[in-house]
Amino acid sequence: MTQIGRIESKLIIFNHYKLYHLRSAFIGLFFSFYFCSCTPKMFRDLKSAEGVFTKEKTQLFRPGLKESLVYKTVIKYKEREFSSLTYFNELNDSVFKIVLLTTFGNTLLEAEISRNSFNVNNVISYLNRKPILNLFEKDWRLLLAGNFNLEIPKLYADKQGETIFNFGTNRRNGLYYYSSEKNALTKIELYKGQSVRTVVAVDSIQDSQPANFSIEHPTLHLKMNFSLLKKVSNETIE
Amino acid sequence: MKQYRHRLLYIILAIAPVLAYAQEPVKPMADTVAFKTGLEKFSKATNSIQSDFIQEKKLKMLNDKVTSKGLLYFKKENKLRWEYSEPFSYIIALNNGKVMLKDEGKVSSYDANANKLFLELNDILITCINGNIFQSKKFSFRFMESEKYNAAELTPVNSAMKNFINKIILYFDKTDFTVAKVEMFEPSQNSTTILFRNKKLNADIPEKYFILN
Repeated sequence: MTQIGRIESKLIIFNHYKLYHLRSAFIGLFFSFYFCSCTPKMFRDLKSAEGVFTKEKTQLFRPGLKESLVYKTVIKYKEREFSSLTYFNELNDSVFKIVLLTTFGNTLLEAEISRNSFNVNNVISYLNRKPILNLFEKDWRLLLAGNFNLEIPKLYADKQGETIFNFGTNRRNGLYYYSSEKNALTKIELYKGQSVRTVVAVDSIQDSQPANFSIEHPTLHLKMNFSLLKKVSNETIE
Repeated sequence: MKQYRHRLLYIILAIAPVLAYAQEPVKPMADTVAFKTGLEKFSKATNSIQSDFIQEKKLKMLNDKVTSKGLLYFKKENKLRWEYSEPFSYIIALNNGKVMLKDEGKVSSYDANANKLFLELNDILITCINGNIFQSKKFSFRFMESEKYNAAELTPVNSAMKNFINKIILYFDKTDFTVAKVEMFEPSQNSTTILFRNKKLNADIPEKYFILN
């Protein structure tokens, strides 16, 4: 190979090398710009809640349940309304069991949820549909995010008597409203982009557990009201 | 040692069915004809039943119980009213095939898909009191008895029903042929027991009890 040929081949390698790096830089810039633009303005540049955050401030259900919590659950979908019962208990502080029954006591759904898994152990055929089960899982993950998340959330706002924490990434953000006066979580909002997709309103607390709360999906016209029931004493039944 | 362990296992396996049925009928019914004739007579003589009930649901997954209480009204031919008072106020009325529901004073729609087992139970109770339960083609029947009860074990025949029910056991009081207890076993291994108490036969039950508005 002549000297000119060698110089030419070096230039080609150099150009390829340069081009590769330029392309990588461009892709990197594109994605950082893309993600930056995807994160709504209201959730950008939030600081870590370190120093303000304690785990129980984002926990709707406080750990240490001695027995199942039983909720009368009224499901309102558009113009229709159904009553059911929801049983909730913890296996340990990171695994929870949820059982949905009709008011008569027929089993509708039995599921187990943890940080990394969601197992449906039993479900009635007409509820055994992916969109329904996905929605059910997402709702319970939203309620239990304070129990599952290991990382420290970001601080959205810290007003008088109310601290708002943010668990989320890019376009999906969950705001957890903690009231220092009530020493409890009072509201959860799930955002997709800038629009609210799910609202959890906690109306009352009993023995550190939610007594009355609702989950609303405004875009789906779906609302579920949960009212804690007093268990009927375990009378011996023959 | 291994030999003893095996013997112990055999003993446990041998007595397990006896233990499982310790509270239940332990022997096949001696005279099914007499039982069916007695039930027919009871049916002809009964126009209405009013009874307290206690319902207990056992949830295997939670190792927990759900207990409900209330009043049941039946009026011939096919009117039923379940009036739950605990854990919350709730009424379900069945009137000539129509299902109505009142939840804390508010009449609401009834989800028949979610309540197949409940509707089946109502059908069983109605046909039972009307005396034609054993003509049903939906179930296969096995008859048993204990000191207090005559019992009929109903096992669904068709596969659709097997999806939500394994078997139903009806316990009839030997003294008056009324249904004293119902046990329902689901494929999920959850079970429901309903105990009927303080039964009043042929009491005057107003028609309005079976109309919810």
